[in-house]
Amino acid sequence: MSSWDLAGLASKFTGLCAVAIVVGGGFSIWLDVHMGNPFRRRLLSYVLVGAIAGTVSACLFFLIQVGAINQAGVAGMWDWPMAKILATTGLGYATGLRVLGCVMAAGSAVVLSRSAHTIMRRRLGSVSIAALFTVQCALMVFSFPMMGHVANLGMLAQAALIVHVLSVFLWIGALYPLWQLCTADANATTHRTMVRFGEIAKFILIALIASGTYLIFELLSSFRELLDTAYGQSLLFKLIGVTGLIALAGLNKFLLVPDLQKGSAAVTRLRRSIQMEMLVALAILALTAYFTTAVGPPS
Amino acid sequence: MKIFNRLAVRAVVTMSLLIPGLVFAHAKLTEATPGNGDVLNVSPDTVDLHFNEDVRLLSVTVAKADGAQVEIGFTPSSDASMHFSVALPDLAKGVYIVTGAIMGDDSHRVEVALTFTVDAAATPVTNQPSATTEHAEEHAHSH
Repeated sequence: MSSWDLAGLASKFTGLCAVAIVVGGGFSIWLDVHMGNPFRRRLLSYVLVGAIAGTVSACLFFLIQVGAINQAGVAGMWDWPMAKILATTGLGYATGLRVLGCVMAAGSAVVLSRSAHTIMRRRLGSVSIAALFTVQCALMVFSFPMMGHVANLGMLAQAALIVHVLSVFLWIGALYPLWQLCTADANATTHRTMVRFGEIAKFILIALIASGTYLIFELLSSFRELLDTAYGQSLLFKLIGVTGLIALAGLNKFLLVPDLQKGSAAVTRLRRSIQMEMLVALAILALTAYFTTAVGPPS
Repeated sequence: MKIFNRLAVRAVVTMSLLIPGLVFAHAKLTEATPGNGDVLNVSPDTVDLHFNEDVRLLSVTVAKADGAQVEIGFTPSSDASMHFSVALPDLAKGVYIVTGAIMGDDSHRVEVALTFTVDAAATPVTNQPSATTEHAEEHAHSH
């Protein structure tokens, strides 16, 4: 693997984390409209960080591809004619969409952090925020099928990928805000938010598994490829990670969240479990970045 | 039991409609002239590259085995095609390495490479196109 490939891998992993932060952070704000202003501001900062990281990583990934083609060192990244050519490919369109989504997310996070209380109290305000969030999410998740292995497949596979990445990012990106909620002063609001997340997560999980299963059928032509090819084996590792993630989510929903109001020990247990979930989620994103960059499905 | 069988048949039919045939995920070099490993008695006028799908040919370099670059004046274009012909100058006796980068619809950067020899005194060798493809292509898809 060349240094260009490694740089591309790193920027791709950062990009995946950033989109998860923006999508999951926005989802968390919507999840509990009754949260206090200080916590909402923290969430908005979380979204802002994700949006900035998303913008930088998307641009960097694009420039790395320019540099990798030129093979002329870092200076080769600034080849304008080559950048113009790549801008007309799926890579260029995807980069544009993702940057647009991230810039919009950054802008709305800044505006909301100044006047969230006023805006959220008005019905029109909260509806506008939900609509804006939907547009931002759409821009970001629609960028995924424009490049990568699914770009050559049919509309159904591309739709499945959109559903898949949206589900993943809603779930994974909401973990940090939920972890932040599990503090010593966790109260009824915390419990209500956790329960609400658990209710919605059921549907997210169904969408995630259904779309993921369909994509595996699309990308692999036989079960043996899951065992015999590097791509299949990477997918298998990812599936093991996802199974672990689902197990932890089940533990949280059915055991730890119901106990949440029993005291600080229960809160600590839930906090640790979500922490573990975040680590597994990061490993899954890293693995996804790796096998979609360096391996590729069998041909 | 009949209901079960009917459901099973429907499930199989549905899955067979959903699951496509073999998936060819990446753009790749299918044929090249000169082919990888060819030995030629005269300098070729062009390098012809054929791919399995429309690709953008983003870079092509020709170098001698000792690393000395051959000036070919290649200019990348955003036009996608399955066939490209790159003009070569008159090449002296020696081993030449052609490297290039292509990008298909999936925006993966794929690097291709092939080697040929120009030697007026040698016995000519022409590899089969399929063999050329297998050996010529290096995967370095990036994204």
